[in-house]
Amino acid sequence: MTVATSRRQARRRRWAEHLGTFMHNRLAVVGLIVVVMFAGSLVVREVLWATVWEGQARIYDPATGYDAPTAKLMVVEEVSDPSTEISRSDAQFAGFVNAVVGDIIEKRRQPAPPSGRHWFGTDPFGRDVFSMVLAGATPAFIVGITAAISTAVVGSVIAALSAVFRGWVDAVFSKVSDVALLLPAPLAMIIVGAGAFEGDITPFWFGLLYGLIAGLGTAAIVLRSHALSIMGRPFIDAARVAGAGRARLAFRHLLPHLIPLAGVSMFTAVVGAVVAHGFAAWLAFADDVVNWGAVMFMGLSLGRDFGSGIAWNVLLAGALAISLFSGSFYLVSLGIRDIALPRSQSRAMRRHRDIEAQSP
Amino acid sequence: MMRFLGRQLLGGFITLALFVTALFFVVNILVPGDWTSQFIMTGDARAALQEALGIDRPLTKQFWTWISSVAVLDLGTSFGGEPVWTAVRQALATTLFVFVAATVISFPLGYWMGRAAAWNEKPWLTIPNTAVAVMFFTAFPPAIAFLVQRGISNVLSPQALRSLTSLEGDHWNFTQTSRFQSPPVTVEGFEATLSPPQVLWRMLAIALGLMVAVIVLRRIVLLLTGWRMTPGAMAAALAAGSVAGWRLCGFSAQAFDVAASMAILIGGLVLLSYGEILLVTEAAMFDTRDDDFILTARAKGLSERTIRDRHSARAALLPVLSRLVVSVPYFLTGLVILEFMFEVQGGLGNLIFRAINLQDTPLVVGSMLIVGVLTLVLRLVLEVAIAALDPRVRLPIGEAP
Repeated sequence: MTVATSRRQARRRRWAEHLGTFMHNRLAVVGLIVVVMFAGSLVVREVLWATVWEGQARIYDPATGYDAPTAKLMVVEEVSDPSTEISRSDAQFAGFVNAVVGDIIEKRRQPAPPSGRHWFGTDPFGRDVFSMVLAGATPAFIVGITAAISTAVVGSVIAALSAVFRGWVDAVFSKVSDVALLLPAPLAMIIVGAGAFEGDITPFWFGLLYGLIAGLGTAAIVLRSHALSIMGRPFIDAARVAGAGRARLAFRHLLPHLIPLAGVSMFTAVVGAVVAHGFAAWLAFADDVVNWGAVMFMGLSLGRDFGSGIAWNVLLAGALAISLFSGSFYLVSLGIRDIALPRSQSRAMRRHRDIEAQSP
Repeated sequence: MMRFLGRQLLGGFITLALFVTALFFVVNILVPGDWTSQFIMTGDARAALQEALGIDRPLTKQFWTWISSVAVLDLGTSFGGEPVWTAVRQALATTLFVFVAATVISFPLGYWMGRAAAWNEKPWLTIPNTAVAVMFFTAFPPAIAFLVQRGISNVLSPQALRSLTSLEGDHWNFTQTSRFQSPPVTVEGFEATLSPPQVLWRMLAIALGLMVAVIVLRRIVLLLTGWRMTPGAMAAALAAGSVAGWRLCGFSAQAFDVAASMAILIGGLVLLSYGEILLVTEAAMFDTRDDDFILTARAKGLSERTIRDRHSARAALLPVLSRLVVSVPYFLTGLVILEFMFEVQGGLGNLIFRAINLQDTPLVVGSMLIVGVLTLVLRLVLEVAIAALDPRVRLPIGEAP
């Protein structure tokens, strides 16, 4: 057996082991399934546009579509069930001036509750909420992925450099982290979005800058303490004795060991970035028209302004989309944490490993 | 301990100085718009106004003027003409009160539930527990605001749930918080003499004093009777003590009114911070589960409950507290967003967002500065608490045994 194949085998075995660790965390598996579902929704959207919604952009376009399904309502004195009945004064207000008690009128519903035609109903503008939720996945993925990558890169490079160089490099980076922590990223992003981008910040820049702030702050602090503990391990001394310079030590030897924990920071950064982006969109400080935060804003505030009350279907769809999306990324981070910090594995997992080790 | 405290204070001061510098330049460069752009005026008049406000000078000169006034605790004057400190002080009372009240509720709650989640083997108990915590941890703050509002108005009137699902009717305008404005609250049958911020500052002082008193009381009770006060008993003592304190100071009617109008905000922040505290506690306790000292405790024949509460949870307290050091700014952000959502006139949230919208840079910088100082102070308190719990922390890095 050559050295190369045995190395490849070892790598394959290590990956299989990591996969096993991840799969044993049930919550992490659920999170992964939800993430895959959201990724699948990008495809579902294209498929729907190619088949069911083809040529119906006037109805189903997430930004400009319009549809107000009619509902047959009975005019009554006292409304007991608002979904089938309407009071006389409301009917008159809605344009049926001659309505009397006992009439059945056809009123346009805007916002409309869920139906077969509009699975999540329509928003106060008469747009299809299902289509908006599907369209909102794209900016969410862009924000999440750019934030994750920039957090991990910034955080782990800073951690590796300050752990290897110590001294003033470490002192400067720690102070920078302390300062970055005082400026919470969501709030900072709202100022950046409102100011430098004049309310037109694109998802890419939002994610990148959010990741930069989060990476300098939280991620750098967490990764730095982990890097310091790794610096005490024998293989670092061995590398040093073998003549590795500081830069080589930092990037060749230390950084690979930071990757799993950086993965945890990555996925938690997604949570913060997506929620912050939703809020920036809510405040109209972000570029996109179709974003889950903006969707919720439509349901809550516009409905109120148009006098139609709160569109609960819009509210629920937007809030659930944001929470499920960022929550699933957090759950995935739990599984990665099990790989990164083996001490936190569940007892069941360890028992399983022991049995495996005993079997020939 | 004194050396540790001195080092922390010095470090905090340097951080603050760097933060102030960074904040000023970041906000002034990133919010390039000019406050005068909201007015329609001729070029000459605009130039005159800019000169009067001092925003025509180069940024470095503005910075020196500003920093030398901050050094003597004067945050300057907002472009609207109001001293920044006056605006911020009123807002701070609300924010600080809500933050302290919510943390006092959510920390024991999250810690308690986290303990249960970490030690329980039954998946049908732990998985929903963790899942709910994850839901709250990742919740969209406006959604939480809506949820709490609905929850509270639901308790007040069962009709609200119907209106939630009927698309008609609107219970969003929950007017109780808007009562909270700077003129003194007048409650029926009670002559109000204090403004709400004054009431809040007094309530805050009483609450903080009581917390120390309850901790001392717990020690005394333990020494005299050997009974360890449960968290529930401590909370009850705290609540009873607060009410008695308000009564003694003679503003109980106002205090109840203020507390009722803050309930919605406190509830929201509890939900926002509860999830993270639970998750961190659970993770930290998981780490100790297979440690040798747990094995030893089990070998000694201690009950699982004692091992959980006295051994594992005690050891997990340190990582939980040090994680809170990092999370405090995020809780504060959540609170600022909630205040904005509930349209609390006196809170930091509305102050910051209004200032951003009006491009009133002195007010933005001033209020962000207060958020930063608040974070720093809370971090200092937490770090001292950690050092009191763990003597190793008091040593500087490198001297650790």
